[in-house]
Amino acid sequence: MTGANQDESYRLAVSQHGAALGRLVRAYEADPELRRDLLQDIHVGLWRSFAGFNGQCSMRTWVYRVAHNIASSHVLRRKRAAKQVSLDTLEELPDGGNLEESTGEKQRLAALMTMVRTLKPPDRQVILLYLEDLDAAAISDIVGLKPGAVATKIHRIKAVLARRFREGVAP
Amino acid sequence: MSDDIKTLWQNQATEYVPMPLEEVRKKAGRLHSRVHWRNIREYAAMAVVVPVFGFYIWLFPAPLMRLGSALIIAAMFYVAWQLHKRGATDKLPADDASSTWTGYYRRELERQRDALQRIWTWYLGPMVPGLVVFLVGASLQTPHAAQKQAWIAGTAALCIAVFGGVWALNAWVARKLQRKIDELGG
Repeated sequence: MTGANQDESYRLAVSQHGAALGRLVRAYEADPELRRDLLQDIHVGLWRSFAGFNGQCSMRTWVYRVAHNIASSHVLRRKRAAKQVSLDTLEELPDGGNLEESTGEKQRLAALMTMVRTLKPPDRQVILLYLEDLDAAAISDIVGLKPGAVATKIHRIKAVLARRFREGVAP
Repeated sequence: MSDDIKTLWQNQATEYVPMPLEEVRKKAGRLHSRVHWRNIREYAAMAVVVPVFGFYIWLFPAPLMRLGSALIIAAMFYVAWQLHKRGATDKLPADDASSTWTGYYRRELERQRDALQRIWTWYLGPMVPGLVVFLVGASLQTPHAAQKQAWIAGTAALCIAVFGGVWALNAWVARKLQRKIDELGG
């Protein structure tokens, strides 16, 4: 890809997915300073990556792959990261009260963020992409898990969210 | 309900501020210098050890101590070459980041695990011949037999403790990484 195309792809990617990148880094890093650094690393990584982008997948898939990979590497490098759990473990943990009824939007979001940050990388990626409204096939393409495995994880995610937010599981 | 949560998630306020392209380019350049400084830090041990043992070659008259010093210097060059060969020194964090996450993450974990598991072959092991020859040479310089034995026993015990400790620590971290790889499945 030429330099001009690289710049143009980067601009397009940021205009379409920039806000999603802002949400993604919040789910990966609680510290505001480190979060800003992580976001900058993702932008730089994204721009660099477009030198090798030739439409081998959709731009959305490309952007999420690069962003999640850099964010996961960031988590891997953090020596004092909080203990992370799998979805299986999360299903067994107490939910901490009825967030739907007893708290406001801000607190519900904070509770959701805390829950997402406790998840191990693969489960965290799936739930984040699910919350961004991607379907199982698109998530599978980004994360590299089989579609069946992604579907199972989504089912568990729905169950956990439903239990924690006290409503029925969406079909 | 799922849609409510998705809406809640997607409508959250973030500190996101678009990054101008010029700034991205500038930071990409800085990232290169960050990697450059990281490389320099990785070679810092070499920068200390090589002059010290180079000085020993000149300072000590005993042939074994000189030979040991030369072997240690050679080992340091070998370790530096291994660091370079293993790719830890010339890659940016974002390189190869566009593959699927599972593939990317697995490769990262396996690279780290392999380096730690094989630390004897590329880091600790190459240091041993030089250290042994140097210490034997140093012990031969001690005039009294009792002192000689104490010197050999003490330094050997210290080397075994340090090398063994480093190896055990790395093996423990490698096992943790293997558990993470296993969790990824297939």
